[in-house]
Amino acid sequence: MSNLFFAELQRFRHWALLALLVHLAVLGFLARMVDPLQQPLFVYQVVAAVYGLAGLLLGLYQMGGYRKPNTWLNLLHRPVPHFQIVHALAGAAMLLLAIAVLLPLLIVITAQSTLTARVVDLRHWGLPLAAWTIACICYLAAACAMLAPRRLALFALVPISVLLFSKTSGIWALLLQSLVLVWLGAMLAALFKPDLSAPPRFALGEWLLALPLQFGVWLLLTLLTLLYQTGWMLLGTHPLNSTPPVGGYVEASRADGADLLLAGLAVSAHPDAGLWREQVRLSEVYGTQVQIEDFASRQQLTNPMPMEFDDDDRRTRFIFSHDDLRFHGVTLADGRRAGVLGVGGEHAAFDLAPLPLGASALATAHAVYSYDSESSQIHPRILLPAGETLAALPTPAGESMTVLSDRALYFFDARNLANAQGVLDPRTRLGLPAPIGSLDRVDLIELLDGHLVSLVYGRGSIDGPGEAWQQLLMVDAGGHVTTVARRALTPDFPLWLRHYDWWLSPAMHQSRRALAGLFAEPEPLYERGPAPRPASMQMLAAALMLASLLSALWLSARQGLAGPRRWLWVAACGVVGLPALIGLRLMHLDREAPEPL
Amino acid sequence: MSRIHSIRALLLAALLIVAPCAALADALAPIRAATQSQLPAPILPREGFLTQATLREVRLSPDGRQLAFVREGNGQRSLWLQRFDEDAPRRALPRVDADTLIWSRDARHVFLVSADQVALFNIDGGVGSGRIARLGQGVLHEVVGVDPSQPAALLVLEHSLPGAAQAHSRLLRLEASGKQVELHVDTLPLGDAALSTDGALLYLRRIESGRHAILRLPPGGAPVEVARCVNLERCQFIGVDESDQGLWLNSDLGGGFARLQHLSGDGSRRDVHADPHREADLGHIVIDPISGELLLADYRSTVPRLHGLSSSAEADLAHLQALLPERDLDVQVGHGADARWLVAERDSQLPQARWFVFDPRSGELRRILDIDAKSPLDPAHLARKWPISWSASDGMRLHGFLSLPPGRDPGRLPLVVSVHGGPWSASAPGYSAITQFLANRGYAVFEPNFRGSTGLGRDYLFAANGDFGNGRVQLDIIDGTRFLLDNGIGDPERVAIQGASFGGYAALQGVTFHPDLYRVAIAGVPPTDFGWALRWAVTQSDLSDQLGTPLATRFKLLGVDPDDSAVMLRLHAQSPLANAASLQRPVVLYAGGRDERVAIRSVTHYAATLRRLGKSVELHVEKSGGHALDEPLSREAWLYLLEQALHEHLAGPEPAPPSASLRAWLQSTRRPD
Repeated sequence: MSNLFFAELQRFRHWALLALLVHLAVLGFLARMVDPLQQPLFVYQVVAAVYGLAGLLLGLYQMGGYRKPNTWLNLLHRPVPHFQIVHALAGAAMLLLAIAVLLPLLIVITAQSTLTARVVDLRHWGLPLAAWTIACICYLAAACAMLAPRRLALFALVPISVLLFSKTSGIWALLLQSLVLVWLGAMLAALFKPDLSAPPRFALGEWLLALPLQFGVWLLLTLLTLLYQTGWMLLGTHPLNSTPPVGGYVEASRADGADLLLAGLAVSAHPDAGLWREQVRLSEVYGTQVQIEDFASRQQLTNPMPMEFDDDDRRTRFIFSHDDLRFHGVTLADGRRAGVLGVGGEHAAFDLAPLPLGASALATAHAVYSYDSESSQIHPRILLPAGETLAALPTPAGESMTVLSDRALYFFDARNLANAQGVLDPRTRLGLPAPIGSLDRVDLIELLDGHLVSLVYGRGSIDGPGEAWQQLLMVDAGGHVTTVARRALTPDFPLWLRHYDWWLSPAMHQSRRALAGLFAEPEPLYERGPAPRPASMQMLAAALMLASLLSALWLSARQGLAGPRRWLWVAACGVVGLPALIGLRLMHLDREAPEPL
Repeated sequence: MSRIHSIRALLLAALLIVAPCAALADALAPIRAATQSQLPAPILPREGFLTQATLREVRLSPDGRQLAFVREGNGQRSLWLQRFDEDAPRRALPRVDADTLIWSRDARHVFLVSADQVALFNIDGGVGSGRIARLGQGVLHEVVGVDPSQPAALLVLEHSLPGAAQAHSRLLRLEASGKQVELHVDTLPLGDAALSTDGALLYLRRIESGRHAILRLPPGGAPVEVARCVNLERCQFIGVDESDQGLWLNSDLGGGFARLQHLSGDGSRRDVHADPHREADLGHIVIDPISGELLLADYRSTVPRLHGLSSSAEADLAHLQALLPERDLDVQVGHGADARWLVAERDSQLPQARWFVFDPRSGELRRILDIDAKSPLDPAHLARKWPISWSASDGMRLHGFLSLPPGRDPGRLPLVVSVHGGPWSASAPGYSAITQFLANRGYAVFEPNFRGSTGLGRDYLFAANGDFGNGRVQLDIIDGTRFLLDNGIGDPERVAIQGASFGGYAALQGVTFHPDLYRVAIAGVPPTDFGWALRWAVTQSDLSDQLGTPLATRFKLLGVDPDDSAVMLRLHAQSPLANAASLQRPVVLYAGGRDERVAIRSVTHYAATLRRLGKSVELHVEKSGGHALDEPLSREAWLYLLEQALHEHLAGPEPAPPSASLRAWLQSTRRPD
């Protein structure tokens, strides 16, 4: 085994060395130009994709060479168990990836930590590990794809998708990557067998592949809607690509603010609706919406955005450190350390990592801070009640600045926000009538003694579940809220399309959500109200599952499956539905037509 | 022909002298006669009334040998200097952002003060020019003036922002080097300071819960209160009397008119000079910039008048006035035997000031700075603004101004009542573009200084007694209008009322409650419920940011306590908003979407209410406009809307078609669009 391991290392040593040098040179150049640890999420995603591609190519090349019939026979006829052979090959590949990916990153971060005043947090040391893990995951997925039966090859890549839609971060992201790595390692071991055209021999090995297979089939089936919608667009009647249907959610989401308010008032029986209609026509309409997608989590590996801001007057850049929850100054001229910046005159630690937004505003999930260049101090200006999460920064609305949280719309005195110091108390609080995750837009006008506010709900309901509606509220200066109107917005997509990914397989739909939320922190800004499934859609899903179950009974018999393996598949088809049935068909060939070697 | 003109000019000059007396006596016959004796003026282009002076902040150096000024053009400001021994000014800095110029006492530097910085310009061209201080970074600053004890330093007050954890107010000396020296620090806001020429801080004005205490600071001792200004008494520091270390004040302490007072260190006070005609508050005192000697007193609430405060100053002034007889003069003086005076000639018929340098020794008067953009308006075609007065229906003597189109029969003219804002403000003598524009279009223009107006003494100011609804103040305007109609000014069937801010409110009041008198109202940035507007202003307007007596206290002292529900209810009940249903006349409204004095929502609410009731209302909202019409197009739009409304409802001349840019502007501001 060790001979094979070292032989494999020797085989790729030049490539690995070249990759190390190129990688180090690129990272070194980037580090001279920018702070590589303070890049937006998109940059990290692109870089991770490059590492993944490197692993993918290595897996395809390495196993692609070995799976040739003669090479495969030579490989497997070594006097060592098969699992030791695969361990040697994969171990060597992962060590090569460590040399090419992990080592340069460690060198650059070490250099940044020791040679510069830039911030290097504990979390940053996880980045090389994460990069290497991603490269290994892609390597293993590619190796599995090469060793799996041809018809299943594509689905060996499905575990990579877990990384794409996962919402976890920090140490939990590393844990999730490790689990995927272990899964793919086990999958590779199951696929490393003499007959590459056959499914894994053992039930456990088969189901290590069967689960990604079914999930991948479901994903592919959901993508079919794109084809459908593309055709719809070509016809010129797609709601998102043409004049949207009247009274629908798309129309409301795109409407001029005044028109939207007037549409709401048109169905209102409020005695002042007539006066407000006139006032809407004469007034400036202000608006806000959810602006913040994600806050920084403590010690997360990446950043939603660069955690730094510049004080141009002082020629200083302040970089946030997750370790001590304070900003650290670095002079722009010569890169020297330039003090520490916390909250208030005492420079206390922030309670959460703040996002630098705008010229002098910083925001955490619970507070908005302002930076004063003259005193070089950060002071809290807006504190949300406990349990609320900031959804939008202060937005001008006439005399007020609105601040949106996941629970309420606040009105602050705009002049105090601009001129005064200290924490501000809101003039008015308007509780949101539905979860923020469904809120599409807020429009409002100033009234003599209050505000007329329109809330449009229905985010995600265009091609997904959930209802859409417009709610018109009047909040007076004392904070008393009156419902002025509630206008239902008609769905723009057909019912079957809005629930397509669900009725196709409720189990897979739920699995995807569960995988996305695995190890992830709660996301208040994405919270949505219950989206009841219409009875017709429930019946359709049930019918599909039943039909899949019955078809599995017939198909499994035809395929010659028996015993627990057969009944497990039949049960899976009953629970998962169509994706499992297609997976069964792909996993096992008919007896009558075995795949030729 | 020239002889006829000369006779007319002599007649006019004679009438100008006797007009105020004549008006006070009874009739307006002399004004009518003088007007009718003039030649009719042609219709002047609307754009001509939009021209603004390009010279700002023209400041004489303390040695009286040169001047500095800011010239504005193409959106840029530049700093210019002119030595009096040179023929033409020269540009010193191509681009500055200064709002205020202040000479250093040594006449070697000019401080350029803007909202966010103080810069220094070295006249000698040596090193040292550039920014020396930033203003307003987390605190409030106000420049008090020149430090009389230093060759080149300013006195600056620094105040903490509202809501600051530790409120403070500091008096700072800002030196030319940029060094700041703290002269005094206080936990209460400071309003003014006076230093002697030896650098001793002698007096402070401290604001204590709405009252202003004048403190004397004995050397090494605790501050002693020597006077207290309450109930909105004026207590402006002029300077230290070096002879006894007393304090010169522009003050109405003790009631009556604001006047020159001397406050001794022991708190005793004496009046030094007041308006001999007992009409006007003291405007300002012209002092020697080095010695601090008081030279001239300026009064300008009715008829602009200068008075010498010393025999030599009186003689020099008499000499000057002989050269510029019966003119409205604004004088700056220099120090020293060969120092010149800088004289600005202003007049209601002069769109731009004329500048002169006057040598008191030789009596030579020389025109300078004739470089301003030429106004297309010929003063001979503009209307004279006549100070008039009339008796209100309760017997109180009121003041105002009347402008008549030259060469027209005043009795057949449509009359426009043009009401000033505030209401604690005043129409003043001097050039007014709107007044001249209307007069040029053939309208008689009446600018009433109703009771509550400023500059006419405390009794006048407080006589309003808070009756700003459909009450005494509005009646003053009505009385003035009827006085003119009864005296052969204006066609009673063709009367309109217009104004901005409180003037707009008064215009709406006029058409709401007196539709028999007023045919149309044109209201700019108007409150529509004065009580609501006051309550709003206390917390939301930029006025609430002003240091000094809190706005709510000021309102209370002026008889309109925002916390007095009875007053607020009365004002609401008598507001145009509450009486919208009874409106019979058309109204034109012009408002700013970012108005910092009058809530735009109150205007849109009123307009919506009128539209809901089917009333005739035209609303224009300048989306990013504030309380003042700053943009040239917004000023032109206002003139056009005035002209259009008066044409429609008073049968005045039809306005010239708007230019493409004005048409686009009007379309963008019209609501609903």
